[in-house]
Amino acid sequence: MTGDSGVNAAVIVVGGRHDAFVVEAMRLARECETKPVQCDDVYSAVAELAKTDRCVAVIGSFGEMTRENSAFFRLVRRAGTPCCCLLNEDDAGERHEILRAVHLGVHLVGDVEPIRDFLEGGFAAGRCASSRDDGLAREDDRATEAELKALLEQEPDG
Amino acid sequence: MASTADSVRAHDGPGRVLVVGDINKVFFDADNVDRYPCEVRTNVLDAIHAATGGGFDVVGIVLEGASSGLGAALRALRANTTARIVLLAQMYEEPIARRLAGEVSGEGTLADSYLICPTRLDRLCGTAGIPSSANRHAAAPTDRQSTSVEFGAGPAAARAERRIRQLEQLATTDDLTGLKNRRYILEFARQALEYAQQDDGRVTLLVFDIDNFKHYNDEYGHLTGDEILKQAALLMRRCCRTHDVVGRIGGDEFAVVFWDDPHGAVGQGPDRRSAEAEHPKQAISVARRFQNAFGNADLHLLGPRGEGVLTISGGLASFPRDGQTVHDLLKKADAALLDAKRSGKNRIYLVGQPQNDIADLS
Repeated sequence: MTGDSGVNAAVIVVGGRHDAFVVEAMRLARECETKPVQCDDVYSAVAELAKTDRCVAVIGSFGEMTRENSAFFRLVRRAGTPCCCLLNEDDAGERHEILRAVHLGVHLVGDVEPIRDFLEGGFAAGRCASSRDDGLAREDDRATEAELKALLEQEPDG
Repeated sequence: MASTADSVRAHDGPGRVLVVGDINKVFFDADNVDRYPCEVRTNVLDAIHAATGGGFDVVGIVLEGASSGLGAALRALRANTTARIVLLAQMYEEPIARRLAGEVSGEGTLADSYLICPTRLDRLCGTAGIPSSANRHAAAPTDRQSTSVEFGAGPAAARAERRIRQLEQLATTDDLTGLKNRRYILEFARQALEYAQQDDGRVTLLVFDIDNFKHYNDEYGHLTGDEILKQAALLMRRCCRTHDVVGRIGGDEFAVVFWDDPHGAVGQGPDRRSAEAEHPKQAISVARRFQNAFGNADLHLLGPRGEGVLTISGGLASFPRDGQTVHDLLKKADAALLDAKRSGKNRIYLVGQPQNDIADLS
């Protein structure tokens, strides 16, 4: 695990140290004046999450974060920790996992750059401690879930 | 008898155990879990979260049903808790458990020990010096604080644990060669088949014996015969992958169970390939390697003519192609072995391909 020091808010970035996505996410986290902490996998990320007493958020690839039946999403939700996942084309078939992630308030992005919005929009502004353990109270999440559900339930062409 | 010092707990506070996975698969007395200072998590991520930062003396991990991320999970546990990590393995998972308990990561070995299941909860608790079920049952199940002071017999429990392990070893090991014995091999194969049937796996059984063994025994004496058996055992073990199980099932008859390691992705070593192994190709290649090694072995005890004289004959049978039960596979592998003998020895036949020595198979 590696990280910077000197700032209070931390971002756990999950993935291989040399993965392009991880390198980019670490850079964005620094730009947003947070302390990025890199964890190789979701298992070490859980431990890091349990240890930290900082204001924290988690970023990782959808494939890694959904290991062990997406238990990680339930954990971050219970902890009130914002979580952002990068969806790849390979994840398109994982409709149930995607729906579950949306249901649990995970912020899904299709590219690295929107991670900046995630970091700047809520987390870095100091709102990371706001608990999301309130069912589906957030209107924006609910709308996203409905939209995604409709999209996923469309019959594929051909 | 445990000394007074033995019954004093080595550290303060109640001993606590965390079990990860389906406890019904591993404990005879899973229904009594409330009687122990035990927490259960079915998901390994929840367990890592609970265990991080301490509070548990032992973390028991059910291997059956564990994901391919088990290695990473163990590394995370090892790095973030001081608890003993004990693997709860079915008999067929023993090679994996043994490997994980011996596999060294940055923080030491991935696990401290393993228990063969089904077992009792007090055996797992015993690994942390938590008292036997008899002591605990004397107390009210809900009275955890008062019973916790009894937790103590650390060294005594460790001695009992070692003794049980020794007895298990004696009951399953062939004295002469150090290989597994017939009872173990048959039970292991039965469990491996059960797993393979559930998970669309493959199992291949190789049965072989040493050609003209009686002749060597008669001409050179039984001690020399014993040395030949030991040499064969040693070479076969060297030729096999770590999770394959080699046993001596009769006088000069051996068996090897080749199977798909359900945690193939756990190890970082050469066994990673095994999960995708195409049966019985890998078994054939191991058998060939062994045939060559044994054929080229220089046995000084046979005198100057001892080099390159020993050969084996064998039969290979695979699940599901050749049979559904251990009995089916053993019977067919045995029949193939007999065919190999009748055809002139020094060959290994594959069931269903009579007269087809594996040396001719690509």
